[in-house]
Amino acid sequence: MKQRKAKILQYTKKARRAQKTAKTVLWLAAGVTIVILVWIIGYVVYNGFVSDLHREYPVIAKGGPEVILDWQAEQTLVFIVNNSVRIEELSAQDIIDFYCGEVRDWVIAKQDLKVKTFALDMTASLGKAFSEKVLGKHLSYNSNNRFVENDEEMIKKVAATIGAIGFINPEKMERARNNPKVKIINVRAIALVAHPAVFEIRNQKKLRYLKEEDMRAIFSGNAHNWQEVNGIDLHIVPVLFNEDLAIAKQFKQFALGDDKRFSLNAVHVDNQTDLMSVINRNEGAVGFTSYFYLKNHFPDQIVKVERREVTPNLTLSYLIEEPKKFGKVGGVSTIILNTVFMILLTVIMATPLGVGAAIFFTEYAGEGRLVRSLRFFTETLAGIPSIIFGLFGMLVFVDFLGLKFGLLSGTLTITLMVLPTIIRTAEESLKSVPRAYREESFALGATRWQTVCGVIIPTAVPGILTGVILAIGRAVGETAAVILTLGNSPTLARNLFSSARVLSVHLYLLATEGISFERAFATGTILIVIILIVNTVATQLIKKMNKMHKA
Amino acid sequence: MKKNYKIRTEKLNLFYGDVQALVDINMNVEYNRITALIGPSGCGKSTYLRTLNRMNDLIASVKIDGTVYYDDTDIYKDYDVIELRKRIGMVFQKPNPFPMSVYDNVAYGPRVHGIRKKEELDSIVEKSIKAAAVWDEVADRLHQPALGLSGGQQQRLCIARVLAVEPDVILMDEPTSALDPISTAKIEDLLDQLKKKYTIIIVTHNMQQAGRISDYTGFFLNGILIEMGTTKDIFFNPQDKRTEDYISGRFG
Ligand SMILES: Nc1ncnc2c1ncn2[C@@H]1O[C@H](COP(=O)(O)OP(=O)(O)O)[C@@H](O)[C@H]1O
Ligand SMILES: [Mg+2]
Repeated sequence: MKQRKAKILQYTKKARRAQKTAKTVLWLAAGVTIVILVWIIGYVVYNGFVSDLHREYPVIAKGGPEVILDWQAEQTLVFIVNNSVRIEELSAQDIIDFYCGEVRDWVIAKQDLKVKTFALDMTASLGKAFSEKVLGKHLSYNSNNRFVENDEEMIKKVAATIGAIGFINPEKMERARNNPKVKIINVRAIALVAHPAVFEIRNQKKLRYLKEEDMRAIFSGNAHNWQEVNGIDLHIVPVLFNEDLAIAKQFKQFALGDDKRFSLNAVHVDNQTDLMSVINRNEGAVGFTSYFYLKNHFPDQIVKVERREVTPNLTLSYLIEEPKKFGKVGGVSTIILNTVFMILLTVIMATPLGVGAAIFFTEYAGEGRLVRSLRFFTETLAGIPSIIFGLFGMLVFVDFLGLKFGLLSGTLTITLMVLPTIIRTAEESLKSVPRAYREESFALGATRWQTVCGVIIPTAVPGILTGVILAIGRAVGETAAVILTLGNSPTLARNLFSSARVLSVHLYLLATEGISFERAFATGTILIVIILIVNTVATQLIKKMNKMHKA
Repeated sequence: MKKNYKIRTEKLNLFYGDVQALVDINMNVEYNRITALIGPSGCGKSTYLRTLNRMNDLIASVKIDGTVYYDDTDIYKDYDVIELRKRIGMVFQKPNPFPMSVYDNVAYGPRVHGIRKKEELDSIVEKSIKAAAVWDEVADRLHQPALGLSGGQQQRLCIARVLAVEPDVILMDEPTSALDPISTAKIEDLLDQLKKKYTIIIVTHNMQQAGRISDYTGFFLNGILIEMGTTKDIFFNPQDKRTEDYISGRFG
């Protein structure tokens, strides 16, 4: 008796332990799944809304409105742009590219806009200095550049020309500030220069660029060997302009931060010639000066600096502007609309077809041989890779039926693709309608069709809607079959036969053609949001209908 | 002169595949009376009831021979099944309102039979719910979900739903077996009202109920109608030993 009791007790203990383990394992499984899902969606949405990039530049990470052309700061200038340009700052290299015509569009501002350069002519001393020090000996103004005589005229012209950029004397900054049509931009114009040995390859190592904090460490004396900043084994020799020179003040402000002090064991110089001779005499030496000067005289000795750029990615303008230049600039408005068209057309075609087939299978067909093979056929269809539907659509709808690459061919193909999903979910939800409802309805003298329309479909609608949502999900996520049948024209589809690019295809092209990963993420985020909207709307609908289903 | 009955079955046999569930049933059902069918579970009461409005047509394996007359018309030969079910309504064991509003439930039948006008539907719905004695309880929630009603209310709603089609026979298959005693009493009172206008055939598991409410009683056993007569005779003066045993609770 006692023994038996003990045995039972032991068994209970064991069962409890098993229960505990099972609970832990299941909890883990659920936890891991949720973490992964949240991670994926969070990653895409974060990158969709925020573009967080590390880029290397030949200039330091910050700059101010007043740009020093040379070390001496005798001649400084201020750059202004027309208000149409969505940009707050540029690098000195951008300035050179614009004025010599290397870059002709405001791609850097993600705008489809021509760059119109304005320069002071040679009669103005600043005009002369600009042409000598910015363009230098090798470059010349682009052929569309326009010259103006003075600052007043410059401000007026830049204010009046969309996409314009120009420069003025700093004394006239107030005038520019008061003109609502122009804005003053910051220019990053100071660069780092080092002894050629710093760039050598030793032990398979080479300095590629400096991180911002490494640059700060070098000039504030916290780093002593290039190895500490991902360089080769070489002693660091910081070379500084005297602190009372304007360029040193700017460098301290923009590169070090005002709270930092310059390195105590730095070599100090007070002119450009000394700077370069000190640097070129000491292996491991590094200093700073005007980028324009270095670009013209020592282009190979410029040390690149990495900058973290956090900017909003998915902005309103991305939603409402048309795509330009393969999506490099502009937005995705037409592509969003095309996607909506595709969803609507697919739903309009696939829902009645799929639900009709499901009703036939569950309510009319019984369990004959024909039905079983039909069902097998739809099940098989569900497992066929979408690219095969794409091929079929291309050969049959596009070519044979002559529907061209367009909305109709595309949505017909997608319809075929999602039909099995809709049929299967609709069948399940029709089957789950209680038999009693059918009997009650028949007993009231209803025909089968009246019963289907009056009781069965209304009861099954929530389940049917779930299938439609799944289908929409597949449709908006589909790429391969869509490219083959719907094409990828980024313009708004005008009719059923016009080729149209949808979001998934746009995303695919942005990523595979290396156009822009940020834009790919922004597009992905829009896709997720569309699915979210569809889901929410459907859930609300289902909730509303379920009110009648519940006590 | 030969008496007219509302429903007559002659030599009715029913098979589920190879299994015979009803054997040579001859039964006459009187106008505007309540006829109770009793017998142990599985003896074929439900099956018999369902032959009367051809609900067994929905089961593929069922084979029937013999005749069922409704108002002297052979319902398996000379009657449209839709028309028949309109005339012979059915209330099931478990109340099963559709997942729609109270109003739509009652209006379902009339709508199915082509009535679309709102005023007409309104008056049918009100009349039927009143006749089923639930008006007081649902009048202010006509457009709320019917599934929100209590079990007893749901069953009376199902009766209202049947009445809305304006039948003259109502078949009931153990309509109170899923209900509490109070709801059961309400339904029994209702049946007493209804028999003024309708011929009612009710299957019941509960002999006291049969005794309380019915005018005639038929006793089934193993697919055979053992005995049929006035309720008084069946209960107090049964002719067959088996009936007597069943009534006195010796089996079943
Ligand atoms: N759909 C069916 N298919 C096969 N056999 C059935 C079916 N319905 C009932 N039966 C059988 O017919 C017999 C009578 O059943 P039923 O009429 O439901 O009895 P009761 O209502 O008197 O309890 C039972 O043996 C039952 O198993
Ligand atoms: Mg039964």
